Amino acid sequence: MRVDRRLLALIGVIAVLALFIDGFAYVYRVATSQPLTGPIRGIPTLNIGFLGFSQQIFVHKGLDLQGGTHLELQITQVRNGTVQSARDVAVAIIERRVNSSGYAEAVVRPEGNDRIIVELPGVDLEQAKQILGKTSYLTIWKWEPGTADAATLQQLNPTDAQKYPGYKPVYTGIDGSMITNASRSTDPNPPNLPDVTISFNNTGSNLFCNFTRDRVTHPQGDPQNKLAIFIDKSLVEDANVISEICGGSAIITGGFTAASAQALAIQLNSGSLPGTISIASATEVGATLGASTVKLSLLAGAFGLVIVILFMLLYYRLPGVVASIALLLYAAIALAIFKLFGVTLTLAGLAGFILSIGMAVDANVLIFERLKEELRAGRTLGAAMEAGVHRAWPAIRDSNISTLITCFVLYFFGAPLIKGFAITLAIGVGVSMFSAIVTTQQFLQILAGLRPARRLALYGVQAPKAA
Amino acid sequence: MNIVGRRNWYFLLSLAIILPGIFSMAFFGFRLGIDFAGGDQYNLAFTRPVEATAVQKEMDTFNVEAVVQQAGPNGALVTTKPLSSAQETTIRADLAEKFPLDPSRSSYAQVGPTIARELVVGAGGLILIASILIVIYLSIRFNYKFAIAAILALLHDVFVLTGIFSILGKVFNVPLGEINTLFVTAALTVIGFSVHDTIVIFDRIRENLRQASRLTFEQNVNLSIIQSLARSLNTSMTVIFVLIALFLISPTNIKGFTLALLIGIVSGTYSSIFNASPLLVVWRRLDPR
Repeated sequence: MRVDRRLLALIGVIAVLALFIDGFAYVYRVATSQPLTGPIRGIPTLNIGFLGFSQQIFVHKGLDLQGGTHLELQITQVRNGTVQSARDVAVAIIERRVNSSGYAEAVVRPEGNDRIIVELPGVDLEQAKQILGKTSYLTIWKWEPGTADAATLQQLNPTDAQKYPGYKPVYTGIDGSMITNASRSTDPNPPNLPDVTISFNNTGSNLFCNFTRDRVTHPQGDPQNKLAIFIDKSLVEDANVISEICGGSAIITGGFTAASAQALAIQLNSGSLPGTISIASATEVGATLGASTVKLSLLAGAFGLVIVILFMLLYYRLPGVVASIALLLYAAIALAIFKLFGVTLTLAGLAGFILSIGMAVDANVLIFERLKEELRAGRTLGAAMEAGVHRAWPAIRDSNISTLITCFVLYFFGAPLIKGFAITLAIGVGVSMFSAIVTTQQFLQILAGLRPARRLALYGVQAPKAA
Repeated sequence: MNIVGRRNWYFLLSLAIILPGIFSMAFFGFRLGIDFAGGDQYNLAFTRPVEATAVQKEMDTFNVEAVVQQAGPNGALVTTKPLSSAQETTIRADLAEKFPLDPSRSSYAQVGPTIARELVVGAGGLILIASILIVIYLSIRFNYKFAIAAILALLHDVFVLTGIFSILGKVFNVPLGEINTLFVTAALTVIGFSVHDTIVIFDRIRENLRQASRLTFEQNVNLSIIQSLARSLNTSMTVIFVLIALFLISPTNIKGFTLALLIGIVSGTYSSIFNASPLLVVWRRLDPR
């Protein structure tokens, strides 16, 4: 077997591509004229115009490495429709709520039949609960002369229900399920105070229209002119009705700050959730803790790499140099793939990656042990190299395929944490097939063609005595 | 060196480790982390040294079955029964008030009982499905005897690992022996490594069997083990060095994870050399076809 120039060219192209993607952050800094050190502005995006290629390139760190809150929510007591449709509605609502709070990197996705996963990087649990808002029930009431009866006092806080002596709250029939959206807005008239715009569905719109038309006949200041919004048992809003509202949307004004308007919008939206949502599991990782885990993993990775390279050099000599180059290439390609395809790195993912490093090294160890045997048996260097790769191949193939089978099972049936492990291990094994076998083989062939590299001592083998 | 000839001693050594483990698993079970048992866990980091006993005293006032462990001089691990959202908020506020808490280095986890149950069933099922598929693949590449010997070696490693953790967690009662999702990840890693390691030796046996030789099956297997020994030890030693380093520098919450990997890799190396291949010989003797 000779050196294959096309394969060598391929190795070269892949190496350059991988290094480009790994170092892309620096290219991006230069392209957007940012300083080369310090925090980076914007998310690095690689655009290749004529190919229509546009991809964000950075290491996607899992919450355990980045810090933040991971919630698994469960839907129960669905009011109408199937659990699955309720789940999808809830996902859409939570997504909107999270986005309107300005958390761009957040993830909201359905999991199984009745679960929703919410990941909020850089947010602690208390904040997360606030963003998700109270997942409670909204109702709109009016005030009528009389005193609240026992049933009403059961339903609402007594102090709120008895706010105006001589008046009792009466339910209008409008509840949160009729609100399709609520958002913070700004009063177009000076002094441009923050307010809240809500939109109703048809039923809600008709009820609200009739209700406001009736209320506006009462003078301002009279409790009968007011609109009372209750969330669960508490009165959150007690506003004057200035005109009838029939367009299907309404604006609630009344001494809001930007934050309180935002909070009310969130609460109104949560009133329209199609069921009761409870937290099935929650994980919160402090930002510094995540960073120190990353530091530790990097330290372990670097330490591992140094030990492996030292060992390969001392034990296998010249082939050890080849293996070290292959290993560095391996790390560069794997990292580039993680960045390019947005693989989320978690602690479990790093474990999978470190295991795959072990397997990549093992492929080289297998080849070199065979090489030594062949050299001891008295073959020429070129023939021994060919036989070494050839005879090590079945073991590498079968062990790697077994590992890929395991990865496959874990990825398709495992919990999210286990999926992360499976994907990095599978990528690692795939890359190692290329780096540790194709690359090593080609480099060894180059060595065989170089006269100074032909001394057997360089391979840790004593020349066989002439028979 | 005659490894196959002394196989009964090696089997005995394996049993000496596995049997107490099985005994401990059967009678004491595991020290379950909240991922499996359900509950809340605060991993607290302080800005200056705090005694775990002081935190325990404070937690006892809430009456939530709290267990507090010291995690380094500036840290404590608090585990409780499942808390309601309001309880959780109250406890957090109280701890932040009474102790010099550093929120950015702390973490918190809460797992509901349903999720915990799913995870236990899931992990066991995954190991089973993966094992069956590997048996099928190895039966095609080698034959079913090799496949089953490889899976027995794999089960050996799983039992060594879970057994030692049961003993650590329940008999010695150290937090290191806690079973959680990270432990499951470690077990999966070990399974991957174990099969990988065994196949490399089996490949050598397969190759030697194909070449005409005057050696008996037993001698052949022994020769194959010896021929693969340098590779087995070299690969495992590099991994073990890295893991020892990792274990020494790991913070408390992932020390159990690195320990599990370490035990599993050592066991995986041992089982592929001293158990998997000698098992082939035993089987051949019982069923000489």
